[in-house]
Amino acid sequence: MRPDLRTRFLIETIHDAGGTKAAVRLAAALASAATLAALAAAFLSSEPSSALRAFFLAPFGTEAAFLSTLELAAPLAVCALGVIVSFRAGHYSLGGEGQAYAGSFAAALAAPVLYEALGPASVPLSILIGASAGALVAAPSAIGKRLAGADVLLTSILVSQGVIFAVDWAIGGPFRDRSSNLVAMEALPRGALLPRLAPPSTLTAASIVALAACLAAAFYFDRTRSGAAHDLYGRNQRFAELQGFDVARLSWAPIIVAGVLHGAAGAMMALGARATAIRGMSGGIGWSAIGAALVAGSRPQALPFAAVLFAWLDSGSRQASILSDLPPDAGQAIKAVVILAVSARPAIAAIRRRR
Amino acid sequence: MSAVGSLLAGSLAFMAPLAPAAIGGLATEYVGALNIALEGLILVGAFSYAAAGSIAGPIVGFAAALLSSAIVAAGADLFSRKAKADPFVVGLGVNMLAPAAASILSQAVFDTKGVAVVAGLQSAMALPGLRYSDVASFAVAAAIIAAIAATPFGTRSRAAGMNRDSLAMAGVDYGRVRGAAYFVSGLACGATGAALAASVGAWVPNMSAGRGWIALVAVYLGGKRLGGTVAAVAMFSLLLSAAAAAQAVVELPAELLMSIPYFAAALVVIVGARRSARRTARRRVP
Repeated sequence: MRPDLRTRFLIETIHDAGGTKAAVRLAAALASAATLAALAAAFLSSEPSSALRAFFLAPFGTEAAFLSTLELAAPLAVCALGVIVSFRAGHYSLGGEGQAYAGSFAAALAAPVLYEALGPASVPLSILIGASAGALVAAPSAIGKRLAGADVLLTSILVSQGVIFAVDWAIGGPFRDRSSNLVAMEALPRGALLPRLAPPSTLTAASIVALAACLAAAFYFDRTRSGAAHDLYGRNQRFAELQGFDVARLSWAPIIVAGVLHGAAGAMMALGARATAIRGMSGGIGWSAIGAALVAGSRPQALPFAAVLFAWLDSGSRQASILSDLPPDAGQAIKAVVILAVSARPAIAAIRRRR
Repeated sequence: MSAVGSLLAGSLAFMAPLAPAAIGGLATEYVGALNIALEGLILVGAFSYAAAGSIAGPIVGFAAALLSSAIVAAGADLFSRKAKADPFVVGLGVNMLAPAAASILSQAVFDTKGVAVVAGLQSAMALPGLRYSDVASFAVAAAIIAAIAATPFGTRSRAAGMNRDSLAMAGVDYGRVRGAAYFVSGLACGATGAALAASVGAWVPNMSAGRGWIALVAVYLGGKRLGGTVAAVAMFSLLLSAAAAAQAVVELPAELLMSIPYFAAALVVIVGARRSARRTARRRVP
């Protein structure tokens, strides 16, 4: 087998777009999302004005709703950061879904035990365990890449799919809370959860951690030699090698770090508003994260905005489906079209250049 | 039927929807483009089969599945080329859009966003373990194999994948060849989707269940060659059939058994890459 996906298939739009381009891309995403949301409300709902109000105002209408939308964005931002870390090293890992799901499961499994032993101090440890589970799921791809040059895109998808089956079994089988109608594990004790910062909103420290992680990653990529080497390796492996960078480490470490971030995001979901691990709870976060990374122009500092945009689409469509008859999947469809619209940016730039 | 016989029959049933998608993936691979949207295109095909079939019967449903998937695939490629959008990102968008759009349309067509059973759409058995829809699906795969192996389209596709500049010098438009390959890939995924929906006579949300990704892996495991891809599909089908058959014998839960083929395939990818790297290294030693 020729592991040549990467050379054949350089994903231009996933490389660092630069500050201005990232801002333009974000603005384009926001404009297209708002237009599409208005169109969806007009054409897919029999009560367009209620749907519009619910979509645009409900997620930001009250302080609690606004803070809850920020909380919804936190795991997505952390997952998208994982995408940026792996993609900017040229590793197209598509296993985020399974890594986040494993992180949720592991954190929900460990949290009650750790809480018994340590009390509220168990929370960071539970997240650490979730992150380790994500790293474990990413490990076969990292090992395969390092030792055999195996294509990360293929191995990450395969391992992730296998893990999703296995976690489905674990949550629906031996670890299921039989007293609940939901296919979920036992609800976690309140003290084992991420503490709420501004009740009645669901805002927790996860949002602050996500923001800090994005800023730290921005510093790493923009201001450190290691970050520059990381980027250079992603653009031209051979050149990075000739420059004397540690290419052996870069061939596997970004994949593991991405796994850690996805796993931590999964743990945040389990220890956040959901307060347990539910079957299928990752709900496409791995794919949405790739979209958010693209919208952010692969710049960590732009990620919080992209994540909030996606969280608004999720929250807005959910609110609109409750308060009117807009299909709840409208948000997902809009996200997909926003990704397509943003991907066309190079063409718009080309048209501008021609003029 | 003996154990081996039922294992092989089971393999054929798994192979019927998988083979066209893998061959479709190979068709775009020949022109040097990775069609990551196989998963979404399968869903388009499955939904179209159920929706059109509920109005005009299974034959029209099958035709609608092929056409709708092909149009979406060709449209996505056209968008990618004209807007200079990254094919990977466009494929990702299609994969995200297809299930959401199907769910919205399902509410309008079937009045539910969940499972929609349509009377008369489940295909009858043609042979033990093989439905007429499976036979039709194999026929589509065979037709595409013939097209890429023995027609000018196949020759141009391979030339496009090897050196698109030479193709241009020969006066052939690369974009048109690539567009045709995506159209063919869509036809194949439509057949896969129709076979899946016809096997249960229903539209089930997310019924592709990762088959698009397995098909893509089969293309790469098979070294992007026709024979290799078919062999990889056969291997996957055998593994999936063995996992399904094991449910009756082993005490392990179904989900755990179904996870094994994915882990095994990942192992095969890694071992294959290792052997390939060693061979390359040996060749370099004077």
